[in-house]
Amino acid sequence: MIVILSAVSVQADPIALPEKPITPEISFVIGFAILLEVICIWWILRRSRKPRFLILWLIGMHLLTYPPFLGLLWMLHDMRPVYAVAVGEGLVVIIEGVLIYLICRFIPSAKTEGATPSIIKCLLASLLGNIVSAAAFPALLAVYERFVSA
Amino acid sequence: MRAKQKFIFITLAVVAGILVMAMFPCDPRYQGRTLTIWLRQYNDTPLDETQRLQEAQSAIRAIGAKAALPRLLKLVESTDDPVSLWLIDKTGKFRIRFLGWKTSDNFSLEDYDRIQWHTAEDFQQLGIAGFETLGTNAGAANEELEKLLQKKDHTFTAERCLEYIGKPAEPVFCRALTNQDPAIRQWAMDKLAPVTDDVIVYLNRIKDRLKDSSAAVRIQAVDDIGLQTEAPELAVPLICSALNDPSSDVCSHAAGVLAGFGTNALVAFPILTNLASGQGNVASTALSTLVIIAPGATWPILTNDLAQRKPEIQGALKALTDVLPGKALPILLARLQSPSEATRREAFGLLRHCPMTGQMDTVMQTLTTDPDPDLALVAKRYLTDQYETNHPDMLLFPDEPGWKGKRLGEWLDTRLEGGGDFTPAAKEAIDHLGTNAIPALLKRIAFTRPPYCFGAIQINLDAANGFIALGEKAGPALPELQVLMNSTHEEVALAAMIASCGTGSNAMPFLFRGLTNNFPHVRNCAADTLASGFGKGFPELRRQTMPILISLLGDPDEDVRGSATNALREIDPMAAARAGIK
Repeated sequence: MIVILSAVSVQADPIALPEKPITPEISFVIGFAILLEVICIWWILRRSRKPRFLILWLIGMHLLTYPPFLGLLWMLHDMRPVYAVAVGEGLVVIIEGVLIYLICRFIPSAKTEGATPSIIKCLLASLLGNIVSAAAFPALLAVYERFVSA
Repeated sequence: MRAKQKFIFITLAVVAGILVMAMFPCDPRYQGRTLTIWLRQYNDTPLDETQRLQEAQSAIRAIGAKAALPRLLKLVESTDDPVSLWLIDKTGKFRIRFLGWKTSDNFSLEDYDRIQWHTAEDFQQLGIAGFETLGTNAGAANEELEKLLQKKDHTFTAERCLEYIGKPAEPVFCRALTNQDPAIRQWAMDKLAPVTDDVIVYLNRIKDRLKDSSAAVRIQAVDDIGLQTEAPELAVPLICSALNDPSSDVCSHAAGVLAGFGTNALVAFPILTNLASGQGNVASTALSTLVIIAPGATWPILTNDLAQRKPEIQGALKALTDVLPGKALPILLARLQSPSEATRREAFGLLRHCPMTGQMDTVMQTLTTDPDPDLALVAKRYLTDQYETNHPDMLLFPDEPGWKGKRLGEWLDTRLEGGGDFTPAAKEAIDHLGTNAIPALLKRIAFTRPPYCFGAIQINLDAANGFIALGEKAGPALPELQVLMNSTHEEVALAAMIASCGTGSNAMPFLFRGLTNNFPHVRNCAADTLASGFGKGFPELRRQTMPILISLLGDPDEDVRGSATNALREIDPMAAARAGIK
């Protein structure tokens, strides 16, 4: 009955959407996923010649690669989600592999002994790192929902 | 070494290139937009936006079936996988939160759809939209769709696509008549009818389904054959054979559909008579059909069953009311005297379909005092409806003022398309009538439907809107409206409160009193109005209602409690928090 009371400025109730801010959850999940990936890459390359503070270099590298990756996922909303993520991750593995190779080759190293890692090894490190971070993503989301946001 | 590195980099570039190409699926284009985008436009556009719909349809047709079908088939073949479902479930929310959308006011349905991941069902729906647009031109997809029909998850989609293809899918429908799945056999029978040009061919195609192992299929076959009333010489014998079906449901359907053949079904009279002498649903349906196909010959059976008070008689009485209302009326009137409440109710239900006579009027008047309150109420409603039919608006409200040849009541009905606000002409008319309209508007606000004083919410609210259109000129009516707010009729009290809203701050005391009104709808509306744009115009005045609103948090009516909560949040969020509202 109230709905038909057009006399007073009645408006349809808008649908409320989740009001939680995006930053804490996304920062937690992405931050830890990147950290796991970086640790994994560092561990694979631990015996190779690599620059000082490789971990910082790798984190810096993700500042370059992660935003375009998220942007790509945003744009590929018309694809099946699994294909969109597969295509995005595939490109990320290649780009990060090449970047790791360039970092190890051109950034001065602390130790002079040992060979710089090959491109294949860098690609492998990138692939395994990304598999670890992608696999950890659901677990991190669950951890946030279970412990942090509660 | 350098050659090896060169090879690796070239390989990487090729892989990256393949991945980039995978982002752009092979999708035919028209005017720079892909088929998927046109399909989405067609699928998402409301039906009343005909131009946008036609634009999308034209584009899809211009792309053509040959170019579009591979993509359409890919869409209808879409299948959900666990990873995609997880991503949709867990990460979809980030998309909205990233954009900072707080409520649906911030975006259109199209915007929302554009940023979301899509499930396989969404893609299938796009495919269906494509087949709908291409229609018979999409016949080349028959084979693929027939294969899809066998896949449980895709049956629904394949069925819709084949239906849109229509005539070219005729062979698929024929083959589906013997599909393993009974639901598909039922569907095929149904869809075969419009694409088969000859009724005899159609009946020959589906008659074997009368011997189907599934009773549901046999029922569908009986119903579909029953629709072929233009071929009684072929259809009636087939249906008669179903009267001996082991399933009583099939039998009952067969008996029922024979009624559609009228006297052409007289050949079934003996077997129907036999069935009618039994019990249950089959007997009831058989008797109803007999009444329709041979009312004269059935009369002795009917009167005998009436005398025996067989429960199966009700359906036959309904049929008799339709075929021979004159013969049915005395029976129904007699049954209204029955001590059984159920019999009186059933008789009343049928009596309403009989033409109104002086005798009926008297019966209805008597029924208004029936010991069954529900029956008394519906009798009163019936008489009220009759009263309104005999007394149009102009007779109910004589001597109303008018302007430019239209009475006030007619101006109150003159709304913008869609039933919203008054038209400018109606506003001008009400404004012109000014205070002369007040007595008539008050009469309409206080109006209840004679002769039993039922509520007349539409008339009451139209009058309230009339007062709002008068604005400050409605001031002299306020004392009278104040009295009407104490009415024992909820609709009147509500309309009186709303009517005051055109008078600005003078309405605030009405809303205050509305918050403590006896009727929950009035309390609810008062709280809503205080929280709305109207209340915002008087922030200090509405703040005075805080104590009442807080007391309404314990109101017995759930809607009132909800409205009070919203109003408190709106008026004073801090006080609302102190009152325990999160």
